[in-house]
Amino acid sequence: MLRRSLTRFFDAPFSEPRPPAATLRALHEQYRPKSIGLGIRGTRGQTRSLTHDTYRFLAETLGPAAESTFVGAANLVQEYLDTRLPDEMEHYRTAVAVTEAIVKRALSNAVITPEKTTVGDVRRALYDMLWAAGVRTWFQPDLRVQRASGDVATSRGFLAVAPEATVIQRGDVVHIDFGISYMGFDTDWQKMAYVLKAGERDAPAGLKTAMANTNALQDALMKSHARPGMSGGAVFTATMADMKARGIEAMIYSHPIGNQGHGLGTSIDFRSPLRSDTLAQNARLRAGSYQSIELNTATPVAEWGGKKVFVMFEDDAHLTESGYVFFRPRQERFYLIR
Amino acid sequence: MIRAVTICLTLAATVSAANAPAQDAARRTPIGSASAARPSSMRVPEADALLPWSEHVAPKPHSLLRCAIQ
Repeated sequence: MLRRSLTRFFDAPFSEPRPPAATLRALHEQYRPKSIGLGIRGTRGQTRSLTHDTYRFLAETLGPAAESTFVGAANLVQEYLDTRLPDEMEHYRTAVAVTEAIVKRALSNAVITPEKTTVGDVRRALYDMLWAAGVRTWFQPDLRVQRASGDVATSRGFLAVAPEATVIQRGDVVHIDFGISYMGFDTDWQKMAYVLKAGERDAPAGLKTAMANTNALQDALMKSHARPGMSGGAVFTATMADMKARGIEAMIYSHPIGNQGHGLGTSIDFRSPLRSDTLAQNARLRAGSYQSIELNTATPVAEWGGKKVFVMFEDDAHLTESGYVFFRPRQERFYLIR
Repeated sequence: MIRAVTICLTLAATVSAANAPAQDAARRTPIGSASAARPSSMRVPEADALLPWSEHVAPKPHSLLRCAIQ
């Protein structure tokens, strides 16, 4: 079974294992390539990931004539890593659903007791749930807490991560940024909860409006503008124009995802229209590729005295001919903590 | 090859588990053990139902590898 599966996907030119150097020389002799693409001379991640010693091994094994044919293979590396196979979708959807289940549990009374549970407690619970599920993460989970009173702490233009000792209070809006690693895939996920005050049965109307604004931002990006072949910059610019016309204060910082949490491919963010490479074919959105739709809106909430509330979402999606489609239904109502 | 990968992953899991907080002995059980390696109180049934390993047995690295290759 294993041998059949391996030979289905990989060339196996020799039935018996041979030393890598001998194999490499034989392959070079057999194919005599005009150029040999390597993960060097790129500007991002794996496009510049070949180690010095591995380069030396290749150069010394193949000799100076072959070394003169070494070229950077950044476009190939990006295309390979940004291309998703249909067979992968089922497993990625499972990864996203597991992520969703863990975050839903974290943003519930199973984990949070108002006036008692701290941000650190929730973060610890997320790690424990990861371990209990038998999966891992690729970044430290973060929480953000917004409340009617006090100043809004920001960091690099974003709502700041809450200090570990912050005690979650009634009336708070709680945000989690979390992702898992599973079957060679990474997920990235942001959701929001509201902690009911005494006598409340739902979140205040102003908070619901704030969430609806972020849903509108998702619709504009995913349904109205993103299509295969477009540049990230064009999608960003068109979506932000829509938001401006509707009077919604928005930020977009979406990124490719798949085998890496922040993958190679075309981002849709505020830097996209500024980059010089956004017109290159390899910088275009690729049909079938995955994108983590990460964005937020800031909306004044009357119940909070006009204070702006950030509704920050992140959902993983795949690109179709008619736009992005989420792997799981998006959030349209606050998770409620009683 | 499968055996080698399994040994490597199990070893990594053992090292990882050995670094877990000492106060939670349950979490020090290596991945791959048939015993209850995962703290039951933090299990998320909705997640468990989705994952390809059974409810009572910890993840098996060779199962993952086989799924990935298939």
